[in-house]
Amino acid sequence: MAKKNYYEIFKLYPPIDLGQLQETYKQLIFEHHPDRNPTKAEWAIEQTMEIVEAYNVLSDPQKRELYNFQVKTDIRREIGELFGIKKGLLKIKKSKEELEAEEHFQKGIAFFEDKDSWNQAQHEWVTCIKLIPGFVNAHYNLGVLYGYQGNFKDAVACLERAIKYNSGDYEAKKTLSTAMGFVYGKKV
Amino acid sequence: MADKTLAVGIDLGTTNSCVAYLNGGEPQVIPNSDGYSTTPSVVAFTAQKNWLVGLDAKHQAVTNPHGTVASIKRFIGRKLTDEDVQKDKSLVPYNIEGSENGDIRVRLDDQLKSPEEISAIILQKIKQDVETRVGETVTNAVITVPAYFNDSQRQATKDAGKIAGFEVLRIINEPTAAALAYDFDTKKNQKIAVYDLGGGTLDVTILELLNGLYRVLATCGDTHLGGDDFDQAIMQWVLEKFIAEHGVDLRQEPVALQRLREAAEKAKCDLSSAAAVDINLPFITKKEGTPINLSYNLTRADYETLVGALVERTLEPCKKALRDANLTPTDLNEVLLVGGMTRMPKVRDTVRRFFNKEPNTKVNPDEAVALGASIQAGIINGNVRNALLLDVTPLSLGVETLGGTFSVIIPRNTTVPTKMSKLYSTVKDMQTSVNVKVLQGESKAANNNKTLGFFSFVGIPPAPAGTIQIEVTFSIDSNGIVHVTAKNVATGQMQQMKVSATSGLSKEELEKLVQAAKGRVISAAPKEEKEAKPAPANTKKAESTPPTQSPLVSAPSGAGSDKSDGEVLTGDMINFLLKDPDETSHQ
Ligand SMILES: Nc1ncnc2c1ncn2[C@@H]1O[C@H](COP(=O)(O)OP(=O)(O)OP(=O)(O)O)[C@@H](O)[C@H]1O
Ligand SMILES: [Mg+2]
Repeated sequence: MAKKNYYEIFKLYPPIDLGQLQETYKQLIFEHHPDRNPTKAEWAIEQTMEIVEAYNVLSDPQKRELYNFQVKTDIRREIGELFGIKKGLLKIKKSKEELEAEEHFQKGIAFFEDKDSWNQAQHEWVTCIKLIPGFVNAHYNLGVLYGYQGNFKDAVACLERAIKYNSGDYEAKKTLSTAMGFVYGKKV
Repeated sequence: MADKTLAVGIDLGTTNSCVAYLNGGEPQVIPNSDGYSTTPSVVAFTAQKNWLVGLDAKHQAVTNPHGTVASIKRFIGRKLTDEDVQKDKSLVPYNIEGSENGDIRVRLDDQLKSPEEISAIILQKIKQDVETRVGETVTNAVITVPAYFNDSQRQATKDAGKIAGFEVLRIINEPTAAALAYDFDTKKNQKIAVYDLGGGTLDVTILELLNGLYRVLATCGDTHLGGDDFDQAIMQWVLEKFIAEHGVDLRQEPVALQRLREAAEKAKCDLSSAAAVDINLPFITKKEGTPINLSYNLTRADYETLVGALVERTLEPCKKALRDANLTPTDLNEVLLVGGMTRMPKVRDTVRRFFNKEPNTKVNPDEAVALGASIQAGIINGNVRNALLLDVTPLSLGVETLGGTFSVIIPRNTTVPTKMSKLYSTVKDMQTSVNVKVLQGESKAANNNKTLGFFSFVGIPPAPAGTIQIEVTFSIDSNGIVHVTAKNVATGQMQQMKVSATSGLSKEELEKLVQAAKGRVISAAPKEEKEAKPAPANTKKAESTPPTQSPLVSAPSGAGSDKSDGEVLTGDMINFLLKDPDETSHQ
């Protein structure tokens, strides 16, 4: 059974502000602690344990780093197993911008081959979208790329945009759901 | 006023106990029947078969060494075979024996009393005094224990509360309670250390304060390091000097030893303000028919050398706690001093040097723990809404695995309450039980840790090896007390279990003692003794420990010498003197 995402427990996402984390922690403990919930002690203990565990990790830069790495590895594995990036180009007749956008899109795919050049891949796809905002697969690929990098907040944003432009994109929905599972602790 | 949520906080100390409650939301100490804010943790069973507690018991200690029990906390929840017990046994005037399962029993006349019962008698006296003060029955209590107490010691303390007729709402840790009592600038998030050196134990606890949330980061300690050890160091020094000078070993003489014990403690306390003290015990013994006086001068410098190693030893837990909290002294905003022994200048200096900051002495070291316990009582019954405690388990909990190694399941400094499950499987075909030995401690070798019990999960349906899985859940509750349950994974049914070789009182014994205690009367000392006491400080809480009353123990003046013309004082004579110093001639 997958554990609840620590960030989701606090409804706080990276970058974490320690003061805010502490304040939220305090509030959560005050809400869930067994001494505050004498009639549902079992539940309170479980909740409190979860909050404490999450706080212990998120409040400690070293443990947080390790946790992020672990989450990233998990999602990379899951996304990697389930999804690849998309190579499909625009189907319609092509304007000059569209041709240029496709070129950047292709370059992005090439850069994506090598982990070290993921930054360039990202740059290419962003440029591609700047030229053609509705370039669905560029949004999608960016989403996957951010997912690989463990930047799930941006991943979710990109995938949501991909779905906005193509509401029938089944893969985007699935990938989004996976990413959301890590970012928000729930599948959509 | 009948307030059904009235609950008290009790600091059941090695040397002194203190009780507090929330008076209109403000924690406040409840003075005892003598008007003092603390009650000596001393219980006596007199020749008249009466129970005395507190000052009354302390005052007659010299005349009734075998029947007077002090520092029982050093024995609670321990086994007779404990190294520490063996050492203390020879230094206390009362007789210690073993029970059937190796637990400790104190022999008082023809009775054997468990440390739980002795502690319960102290608690009963406290309960009695509280009820007289507030004019209603009080049953709910939060009782404190040293943070470094293990499961058996906690359980035993809880049982003591129960025997005394209390509903024990919670067992909490003394240093944490002290932190609760301290009025911090709650707006500020900060990290603090509490250094609590009492009569018998040392605790060091590091906390993070988050605007009303008191979160313990780490705790460490020594449940066998406190004022008693300092007293013993002085006693040893005197005893050796006395042997060298007179060739007499006073260890063989209970009355002399008890007088020396009291003198040693007094000398220790005086040395916190004086540069030197005289330890004078006239007519301490007789040699070839001639009485001998004991008289030595102890300078503070010599005393500090004598106990240098003890003070130094207190730093080890400080280091460990900091390490576990992943902090350095500079990360701390405050270092709070608690416990009577922190009045000793050398202790303060050592703490200051180690933490590199001026220790905070704003809390009253005798009362802070009880005040904090009363706040925790308020948190539990809902009267206190702006504070919460998250404490930790001081010791790692685990099981013995193959080859006698200790496998940790819940590491020390885990926030409680907590629980952890582990799967066990049968290793042989048709195996119908699984044995698990549960331990607490920090040693890799299972043997060096404290055994909490052997749990046998029985009645497992016969099946091929490895096919049956038992999920064992280890939990530590808010009291720091361990619970073990097990269930059959396949059927989801709770597994029956047998617990053996644990320490402490059985359910039946406990119930019997609870009933027996109901009839117990704690006497007041005979009237003339009462009158010899100073006027109770009724209005103002007594700031420091009440002065020692026996004229024979106030060492420097040698007050007893003129009362007796060359005779060695026997127990009876001392008793007589205590009762009426002006009528010696009647003897
Ligand atoms: N002025 C003083 N100087 C030195 N030591 C003192 C002084 N006053 C009290 N003590 C010592 O402090 C000890 C008692 O402290 P305290 O009352 O805090 O202990 P306790 O709470 O009973 O014990 P514990 O917390 O270990 O169970 C005794 O050993 C006593 O002799
Ligand atoms: Mg104490």
